[in-house]
Parts: sequence; structure tokens; C-alpha cells
Amino acid sequence: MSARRVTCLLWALLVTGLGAGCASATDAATTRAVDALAPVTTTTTEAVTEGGSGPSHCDDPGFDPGASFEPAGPTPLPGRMPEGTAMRGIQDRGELVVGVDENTRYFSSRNPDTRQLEGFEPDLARLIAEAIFGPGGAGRVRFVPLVTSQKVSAVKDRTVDMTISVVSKSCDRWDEVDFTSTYYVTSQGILVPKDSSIESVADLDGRRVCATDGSSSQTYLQDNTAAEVVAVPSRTDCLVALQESRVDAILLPYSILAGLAAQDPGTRVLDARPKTQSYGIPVAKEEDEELVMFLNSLLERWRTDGTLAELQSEFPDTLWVDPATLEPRWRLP
Amino acid sequence: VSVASTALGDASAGERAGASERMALGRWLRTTPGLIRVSSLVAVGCMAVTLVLGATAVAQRGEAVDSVSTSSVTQLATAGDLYASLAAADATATSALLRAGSEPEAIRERYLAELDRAESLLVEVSEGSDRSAATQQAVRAIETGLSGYVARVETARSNRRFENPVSAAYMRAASAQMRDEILPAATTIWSDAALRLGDDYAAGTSIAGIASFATAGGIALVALLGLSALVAWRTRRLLNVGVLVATILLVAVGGAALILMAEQHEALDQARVEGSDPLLLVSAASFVALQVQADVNLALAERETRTAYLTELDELTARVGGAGVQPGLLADAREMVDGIDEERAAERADAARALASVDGSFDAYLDKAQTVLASDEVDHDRAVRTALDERPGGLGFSAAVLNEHMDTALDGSRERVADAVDSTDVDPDVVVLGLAVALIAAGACALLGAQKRIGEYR
Repeated sequence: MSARRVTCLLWALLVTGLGAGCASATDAATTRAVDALAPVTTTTTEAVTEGGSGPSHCDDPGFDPGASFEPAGPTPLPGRMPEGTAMRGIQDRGELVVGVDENTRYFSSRNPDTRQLEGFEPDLARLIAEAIFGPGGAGRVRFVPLVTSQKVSAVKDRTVDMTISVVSKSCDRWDEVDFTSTYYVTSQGILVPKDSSIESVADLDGRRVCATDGSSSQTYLQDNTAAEVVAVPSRTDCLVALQESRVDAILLPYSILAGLAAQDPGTRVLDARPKTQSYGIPVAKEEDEELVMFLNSLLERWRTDGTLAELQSEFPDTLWVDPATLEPRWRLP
Repeated sequence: VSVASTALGDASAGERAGASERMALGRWLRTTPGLIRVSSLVAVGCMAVTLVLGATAVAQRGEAVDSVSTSSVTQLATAGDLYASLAAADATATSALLRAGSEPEAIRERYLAELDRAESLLVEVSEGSDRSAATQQAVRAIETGLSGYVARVETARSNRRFENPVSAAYMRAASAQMRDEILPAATTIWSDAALRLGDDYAAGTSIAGIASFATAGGIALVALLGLSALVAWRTRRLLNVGVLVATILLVAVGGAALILMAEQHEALDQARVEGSDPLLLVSAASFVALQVQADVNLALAERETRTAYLTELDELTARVGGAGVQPGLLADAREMVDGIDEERAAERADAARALASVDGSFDAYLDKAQTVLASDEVDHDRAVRTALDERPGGLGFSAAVLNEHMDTALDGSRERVADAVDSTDVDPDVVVLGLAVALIAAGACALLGAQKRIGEYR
């Protein structure tokens, strides 16, 4: 008989009533195990948008968010980026880091079958890489998938060299980053189930409407409608929410909605197009102005030589934008 | 007035009669036969109380031992298997998301097999006779959630066939549902089973029953000794065979019952400390490890939101392996295994070896996962290939080794519970019967012994 048992027996013989001294192991292991299975509370660190010390571009009524910096001088040759420029830094590093979306059909999506990134924007990024590194440069792009709320902040904190992901050029974003000239224009659109009674922006009031978190669409909904805004991280999350009837409509740029509608024949895009917006490539402010000018020179060349039109060859007709309409407007840095 | 006087007269006559009876009883109690009779009845009463308390304590302990060996541990294992199947189904589904080309048939079959297993285990849990309200609610939550989860996975699959990017969003939504709704409900079922096992241990090792029995038995012994002394004093006869036999029976049976209870106590203590507690901790570690594997898959598949998965990965890793001075689940389990009695050195060595294998394979998995996640920054395709590779050197292989070692450690803990519980091979019903027969016989002996002396006074 073990010492523990003898102790228990003696104790039992001496004490009446409820005892605790010889009680077996506590529930510590149970508690410990159950606690370890508690859900993890992750604190999402949202990108902090600093107001900046200077005045906002939005306070300037004459500010044109569509305009960018005019290229100065000839475009540097591939593989021969000028010393001391951001392009030279990229060339020396050996890779171009580009933030992209993985879920926007036609513009940038990862093919579930091949796991490869496809679309207008990855192709544009590969062209830029070739212009920096020379032949074979297309393979030197490192794509960093970003959600909408990260697309400006990732450029600002230099996680990426640039973002090519249907980023609309707005005055508040100009406060954070610089933009290239416009490579695509579109307007906000509304996607609804085919049998929906929603026909206009006014019909969105009181309805649950999906938009991506941190997007210009979310801002538009909050500023112009009385809709209940359902913000999600990724664009395709909106389609899931619509298909599962968790929202009544999706408000996003038409460029994105066309891709979503193509994945669900049970939906339709309304004719109502509330607000036009132009897409540019955001680049970190100030010291990378030369990079913006370099990209603008490339975009202007590709606009006029048919390359931008060629990049849109896979688009449905409704998405196609005539490059002639994208003539750049310039402003001083 | 006459009626009132008559009534008063009747009342006072009744009172007088009662007082007379009480006086007669008092006189009889002061006689030797009266004293012996009362003392013998007190001793028999004490033995009856001892019998009731002893039978109750033995039966309760027996039920607790039986419940631990046949019910609680089984329910805990079923709940654990349910959680593991659900988590494994999700980990398999998310790994399918990473693969290029059509989904391999083997992966699809593995997913369906885990799902089938989860569904049959859920039926087993729902058909349990003693389900708590929390478990019933959790079963309903899993039933509802699982149908939604499966629908989302299937929608993801069909969209994948059409190369629709929304496929990934459906898979992400399905996985989020699994982690936010279904697995927490499975945790509730498992926690409930763990608490029930704890209750069984508490009932089986409660000192209240053994102490009450010992106290009542002690009082009965004092009563018998008192009776024996009284008889010797009043009758001048030292030996009363009946009372002596009753005393011997009480001491022998009471002592045997106490030893049996102590053995049951120790068996349950051993089962808990050496088997169940490590089982709980390793089970929890295995669940968390499955979540870690799903996080790694999702961080690779859902790269836009990978930060959230990586943050969760760090927290979960710390729960299993510890962080800084804070020990993890595996360290706690090791500490318990180190406490296994010296008498069972071989079992302790086996358990320690099993845990060391789990520890080593968890570290190896994490090292590999970190390498894969770091390489994902540079070459996504290569990282995914390594993640899915089930050959030595691949992350898939490391995951399989980890899961196998977890299963081995869990099986070892279950065996230790069964061995410890089986070590008490005395049937409690037989003990209760023996206790009853012996104490009734002791009571009869005491009464007969006392009666013999009382009879001599007539």
C-alpha cells in the first residue's frame, strides 16, 4: 500500500464530514486544456491614414486627381536605369515588387486551376519589369497579394514598389502617395440578383450593400446613400455574400463587377453608373517622383503604340476602354 | 360545570398514567437487562448506519470507476475524434485549394472520409444517454454548421472547375465557418466530456464517503466495546461470545472495505494523473496542431489575408510549444508524465518517449512551415509545392509525422487510463453484499449475545 493510500486511510479514520486534504488531482489539466482551445483573438492592425502635416489636396478646389507628373527627358533604356533613381534601386535589387489583387477576373486573378496570376494588371507589371531589367525581366516580378485596405498603405510603407490593382486616383489618396497617369477608366456600378427590384442608387437606401473595406466604393455608399454597408476584405467575398443572400446588392467599380457577373449568370449589372473614376499606379511619395515619371513615359508609349489596347484583348466588350480616351493630363510634382 | 369537571378529571388521570409509565421505563432502564438491551440496540443501530454508509461509498466509487472505464473516457475519446475529424476535413479541403490542376482523387476521398467519420461520430454523441444541455446545443450547432460548410466547399469546387476566382472566397468562407462556429461547438462537446470525466474522478476519490464510513464504523466499534464492558461489569462474566464475534466481524469487514475504497481511490488517482490528465493536454495539443496546419495552408492559399493567419499561427504555436517562460501544453503533459510512479518506470519511459516524439515532430513541422512561408515571399509556386509534398523533406510529410506521433501519444494515455482502472478488479456489488451479510451477522451476534445475558435475569 502506498504512502498516499495510508495517509488517506488515516485521514479517513480521523476526520468526518467533507474532506479536502486527500482529494485527488485538481481540475487544473481540464481547465488548461479547455483554455488552450479558446478562439484566438486577433487584433487586426488597420492601416493608419495619417492626416499629414500639410494641407490636403481635397481642400484645393482646382486639384485634378487625374493628372500626374510629366516625364522629363527620354525614357531610360532597359537594364540601364540612371544612378541614384528608384528604378536603379529596383534594377540593382533584381526584382520588382508589385502589389496585386488575386480575385478580380480580367484585371488580376489567380487561376484556381493553374494557380498562376492572370489578367491585365499582372501583364502590365511584367511589361514594366521588362522595361526596367530588359529581356527576360518579366520573370523578375514578385507579386504581393493585397486586400483593398492595404493597396495604398503597402506602397506608403514600401512593402511594395507599386500597386497595380484598380486603385482609383482620389484627392485623399494623393495625400498619401503619388499616382501615375491613368491606365484605365471606369465608373461605380451596382450588381444585383436578376430578379431584384433594385434599379438605381436611390433604391439602395435601407438595403444591405456590399463593398470592399477601405475602398472608394465604401466611401461613396456612406456619403451618398442610406444603405447598410457590409464591408468585406476581398472583392469576391461580396459575390459570396450576394449568392448567400446576406446582402441585396454589391456596389463596386464596373471593372470589378463585370468579372463578378461573369462568374454568376444569375446576376445583372444595373445601367446606373453613379461615379466615374480613373485608375493609376500608386508609388511612394516624393523621393520616387522619377519612378512616377518613368512609368508615365512607359504608359504614354504603350497608350499610343497599341500595347494598352492589346492588354485588354481578353476583356469583354463592355469592359474595353479605348486608349485614345486616356490622354494624360500633367501637373507639377 | 359537571362536564368540564369530568373532562378535567379525565385529563389529569391520563397525565398520571403517562407519568407512571415513564417512571416504570426509567426504573427498567436502570436495571441490568434494560441497560444491556439499550446498549445492544445502540450498537446494532450504529452498525446499520455503518452498513448504509459503507455500501453507499463502495457503490459510488464502483460507479465512478465503471463510468471512467466504460463511459467518460469513451465519450472524451469520441468528442476528441469528432474534433480531429472536423479539423482534418478542413485542413484537407484547404490543401486542395493550394493545388494546381484538378483536385486529386485521393485528396477528395480523404476529405469525404473525414467528413463521414465526423458525421457518424456526431450521431454517436447525439445518441448518448446523458448529454448535457450544452452538448445538445453544440450538436445542433455542428449539424447546422456542417451542412453550410459542405455546401460552401462544394460551391468552391464547382467554381474552381469553371476557373472562377470566387472559388477561393467560398473556401475561405467555409474555413472561417469551420473555425468560428463548428470547431468551437466541437470544443464545447469535448470540454463537456472532459468535465464529466473530472466529475467521475471527483466522485470516485471523494474523501467524504470513506470518512463517514470510517467514523460510523468507529462509533459502532465503541458501542460494541461499551456493550461488552457493560455486560462484563454487570454480569461478572468476562466473555460474551456473541458480542466478541460481532466486534471481530465489524473490524474485519470494515477494514477490508476501507482498504478496497483506498484501492479504488488510488486506481482512480493513478488513472487521472498518469493517463487522463496527459490525455487531455495531448488531445488539446493535437487539436491546436491541426489548426496550425490549416493556418499554414490558408496563409499560402489566401495570401491577401495571410497576416491574420500568421498572427493566429504564432498564438497557437505558443499554446502548444510554449512562449518564453510560459510552458505550453506539451511541457505540461511532460511534467505529468515525469510524475508517474517509480513502480511503473517502463510505462513512464514509454510515455516520455511518445511525448518527446510529439515535441520533436512539432518543432520539425514548425521549422519546415517557417521555411515554406519565408520562401513564399520569393517563390510562391515552390513554397506551395513544398507545402504539399508528402515525401520526406516536404511539409506534408512533416505534418503526417506530427499527426502520427500525436495519435501514438494519445493511444498511450488511453491505455494508461484503462490499465489503472482495470487494476481494481474487485466487483463492488460483491463487496456491498459481503459488507451487508457480515454486518447483519454482526448485529445478530451482538443481539443474541446480549439476549443470552438478559435471559439469565428472568
